[in-house]
Amino acid sequence: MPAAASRTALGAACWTATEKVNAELFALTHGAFVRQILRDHEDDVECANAALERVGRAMGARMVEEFLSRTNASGGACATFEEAMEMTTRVGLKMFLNVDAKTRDWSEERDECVIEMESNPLAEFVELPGKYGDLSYCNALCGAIRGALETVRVRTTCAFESDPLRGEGERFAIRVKLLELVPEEYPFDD
Amino acid sequence: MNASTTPKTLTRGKRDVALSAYALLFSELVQYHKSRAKDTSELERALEDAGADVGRRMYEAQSFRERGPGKRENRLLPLLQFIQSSFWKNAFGRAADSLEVYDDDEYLLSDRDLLVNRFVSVPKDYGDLNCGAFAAGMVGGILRSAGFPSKVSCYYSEQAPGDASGRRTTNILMKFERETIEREKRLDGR
Amino acid sequence: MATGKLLAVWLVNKSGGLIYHRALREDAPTLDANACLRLASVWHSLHAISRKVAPVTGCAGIESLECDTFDLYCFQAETGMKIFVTMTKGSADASGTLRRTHRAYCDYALKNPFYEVEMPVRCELFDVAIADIARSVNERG
Repeated sequence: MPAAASRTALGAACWTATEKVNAELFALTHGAFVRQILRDHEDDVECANAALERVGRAMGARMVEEFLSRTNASGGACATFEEAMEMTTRVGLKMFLNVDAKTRDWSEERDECVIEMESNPLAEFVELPGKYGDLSYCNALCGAIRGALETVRVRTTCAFESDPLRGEGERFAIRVKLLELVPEEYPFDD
Repeated sequence: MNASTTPKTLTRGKRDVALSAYALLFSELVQYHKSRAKDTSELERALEDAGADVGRRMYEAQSFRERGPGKRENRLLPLLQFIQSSFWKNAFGRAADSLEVYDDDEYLLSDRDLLVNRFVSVPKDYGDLNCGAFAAGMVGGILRSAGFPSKVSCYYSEQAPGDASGRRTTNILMKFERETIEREKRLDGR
Repeated sequence: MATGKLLAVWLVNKSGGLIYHRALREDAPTLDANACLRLASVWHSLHAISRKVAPVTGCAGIESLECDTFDLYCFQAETGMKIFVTMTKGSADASGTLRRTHRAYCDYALKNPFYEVEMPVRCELFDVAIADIARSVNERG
């Protein structure tokens, strides 16, 4: 089986095996969180975007541990950025959010790509009023991807390439750019 | 922001996400409010407020799906029974374990394994904090929007002696205004 | 062959700090808190050495240490989080036990809003989960 197909199958198997909860509860709880953050930042959208990123990053850092335990990935399973991205896209997003996604627009150096999502449970029921035009409502998702990757020593930047809530395109797409594959630290390296 | 609940998204089939994703989101919500609240009662109040909106919106969406536009429960007891059974099952995957009436103006909803508390161990120095305040807030939000304002609160049952399961029942207490109860009695023709 | 009994569970963070230790049987040695911290740190280093000196890349480090009177099994996740257990001699589903422990950590530590990552695990429900794992291992055959 080609690598992409086997990862898709792994993602589907992990999704089947996991305990589930109503996506509406998830979307609305996230929505309440976003509104609270906007209130606490007095509608300063830039600050809210950063706060949402932090929330997501913390989630991602915790999520990756479960991802590893459920996929039995260990010992350099993601030796390259490309492998890490494929696992995130085809296994991670499916396992946690039941989202089918794929990577596209790989850079020649294979250090940058776009994750295109078929759906986005965070954005259900949402229409952004004009004054929040610059809000990245789903920014926690970018944060989660970045947080998960950096916990396994893959430092990246993540930002929406297209966000239908802001009238950009039909599908949510996230651009991920590799900054550094951080070498593992050993207790005796100083 | 006005997350508008349009019929299109409401009538779409039920979707799920992983419980893990929800639990991590909820955990971040609690941590966010924990860092801002000055004491546990303020933290509980913040969780209640967050839940109120979620409960109201989920209830509206569910009523719309199951009964059609504008048709909602307008009597107290049937509404509480709906919350205990259908609403709880839709939101949390299982009906709440019991609904009891106390003193005629107080009702108690109990859940042995409340979804939002599934992974939560409250440290001793947080006293009797119960993060189920979020679920209590959901109930309060539904009741308020249905015209039954109430004061909701939430507490753990004492652990049964010899029970080492660590699981504790969460109780949600609703106290209604005198007038509401009188009105219901009049409607009962008593 | 008799089945191996679970003696103790240890969790070590990516910096070599002990975040959880629990003896699960009476025949597990009694160690004071400082001794536990030191041992966890020494094991962390040994594990790292085993990866460094391996003649291959991507070595996962020591997975088991067999002794005359007990065996030690270790698992390290890609995050650097390490779990090891000591067991009495005998047949054992060590990887299953390690996996269940890891899963319990994901659930009852990481999803608990009162748990801080990398810090000692003090979560009642995690203790309960570990007790359940120990019971299911130690009450076999």
